[in-house]
Amino acid sequence: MDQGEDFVVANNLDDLVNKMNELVDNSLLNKDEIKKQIEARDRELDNLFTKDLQVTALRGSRFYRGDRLIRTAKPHKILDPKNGPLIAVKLNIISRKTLGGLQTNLSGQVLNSDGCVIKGLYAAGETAGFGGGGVHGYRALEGSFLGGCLFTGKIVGENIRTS
Amino acid sequence: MGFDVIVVGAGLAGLTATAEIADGGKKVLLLDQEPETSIGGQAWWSFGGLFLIDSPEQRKMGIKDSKELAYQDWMGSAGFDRLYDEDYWAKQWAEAYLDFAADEKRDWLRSLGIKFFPVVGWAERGGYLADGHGNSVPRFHIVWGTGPAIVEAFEKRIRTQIDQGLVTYLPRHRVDQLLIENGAAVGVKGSILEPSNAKRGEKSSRTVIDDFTYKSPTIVISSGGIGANFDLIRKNWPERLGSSPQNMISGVPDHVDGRMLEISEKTGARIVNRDRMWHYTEGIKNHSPVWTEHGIRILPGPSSLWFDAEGNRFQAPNFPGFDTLGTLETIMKTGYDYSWFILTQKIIEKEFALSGSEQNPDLTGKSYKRLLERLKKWSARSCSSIYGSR
Ligand SMILES: Cc1cc2nc3c(=O)[nH]c(=O)nc-3n(C[C@H](O)[C@H](O)[C@H](O)COP(=O)(O)OP(=O)(O)OC[C@H]3O[C@@H](n4cnc5c(N)ncnc54)[C@H](O)[C@@H]3O)c2cc1C
Repeated sequence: MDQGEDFVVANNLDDLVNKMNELVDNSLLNKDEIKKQIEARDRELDNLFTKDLQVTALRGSRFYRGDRLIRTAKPHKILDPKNGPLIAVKLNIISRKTLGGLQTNLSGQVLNSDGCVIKGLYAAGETAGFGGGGVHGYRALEGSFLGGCLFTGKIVGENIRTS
Repeated sequence: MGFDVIVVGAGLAGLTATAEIADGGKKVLLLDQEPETSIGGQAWWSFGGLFLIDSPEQRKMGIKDSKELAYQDWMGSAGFDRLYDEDYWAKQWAEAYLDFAADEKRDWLRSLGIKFFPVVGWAERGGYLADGHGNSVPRFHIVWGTGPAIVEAFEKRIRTQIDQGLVTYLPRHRVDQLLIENGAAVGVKGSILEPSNAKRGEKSSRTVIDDFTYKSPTIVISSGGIGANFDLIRKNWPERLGSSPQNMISGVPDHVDGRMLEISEKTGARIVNRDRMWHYTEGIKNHSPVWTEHGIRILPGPSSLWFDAEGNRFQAPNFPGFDTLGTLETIMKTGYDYSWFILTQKIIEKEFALSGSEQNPDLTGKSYKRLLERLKKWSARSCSSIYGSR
């Protein structure tokens, strides 16, 4: 298939919702309910201020030059046909990173269940939770995985080099 | 043949450690289960986004950042709550990492030839209070050349060190056991896997043709996480995130199998925080898969409307790119393992990026010309081209 199988495109919302239901082979989505919610959201665009926090966030993010340039579209009504055909994307859960891992001290040495160093054993990168067995805690700020591999690799390397 | 150090895993962490160790003249044996084509591991596939604090790129974009602000954001996101146990070292590493990202990181990388795309991205925007989850300011610095450029910088060093006789790199060497005597590492044991023509990222065979034992007083484990091992993911899935997804796609190559973590644990190493994982909610299937169940993550801009499987718009702050974990929890608690974006042509043109080196040929190929064309076409582009043929 040339196009992504998780995408559907339509010129009006009724067709879009039909296609969405077809894609997942059920009828969970109700056209009228979805239309009501999008119309409600679109009404919030008539003023520059609004109660809809997503719309507020869009306007806020456009104060950042980078977002205005390449990341946040000018807020517009979803159901206004002049904004192009409607698109829906089915979003799946996609596995990626392991935030926990081998517990290491600040030299990158691996610890045992008593919290003592296993002599000569080090860990770096994702396997060490990007540092210490979970440098991100519960949530990440992004860009910190590669960075965590670089940092732990560097620290472990320096410690071994000088030991 | 004697080695001062054995490194298990030739991903970015293993390459970095190896290069740093061999720089001091020590002899390193670098082992990896995959064929040589996969050197660099996951990092090659990555978008090459790097977290930096108060960088010249940020300043040029008018962003005021500081170590204090980044500390506030990191701790607000991390929510360390096992400080006297599982988070004891993790939090100290976080503090050290923040210093690194604010000071040394950028200069060090630049000295290795790594440059950054001038527009800094804004990931994980939060949506709670100032001390809650999220980046207060954009900090996602995309490496010019994306993942492959990062790998290249370190691979180059390793290749030189191989030529100098400091590094011995043995692909298709899978470690099956850590040798520990009297509480100290003494070596590794493993299997030599049959030669493989698998291209980068493709699943390679596990047929064993021989075994090996190497001795060394110093061993570095850099074998990656568990992202391709759905059984382990489901086993470690915490209740707080609802039930584990029945259907998932994989954002990582098959070699991210978690096997070495289990082996290390068997040898006495302690695994902590195994309930903490970072999976995304905006996965689409790759129509020309490289690895098993290959999925690609959409890096969404903030405008798409987000609905659950039954068509209810998610509550604040479950907006695209705000709170990955919170949204994952919200989705899983609907009882379905998928959700929907509804958007317009205008939104897709401006806001959809796909996270991965392959999906961004202009940034990966370091072509300013192609990038400019993309920026110009961003408004003229047909919607099929964003998830086009690459
Ligand atoms: C598509 C994609 C996009 C990403 N984008 C970003 C981004 O923009 N920013 C960011 O910060 N992070 C990103 N990441 C995450 C980041 O790339 C990874 O977390 C990081 O590269 C992990 O590096 P590592 O060296 O710890 O592990 P890996 O890259 O997984 O390498 C581990 C190596 O160890 C080998 N190995 C495992 N077990 C054994 C064994 N028993 N014996 C021998 N060898 C073994 C494996 O074969 C592998 O080569 C992305 C990841 C992906 C997949």
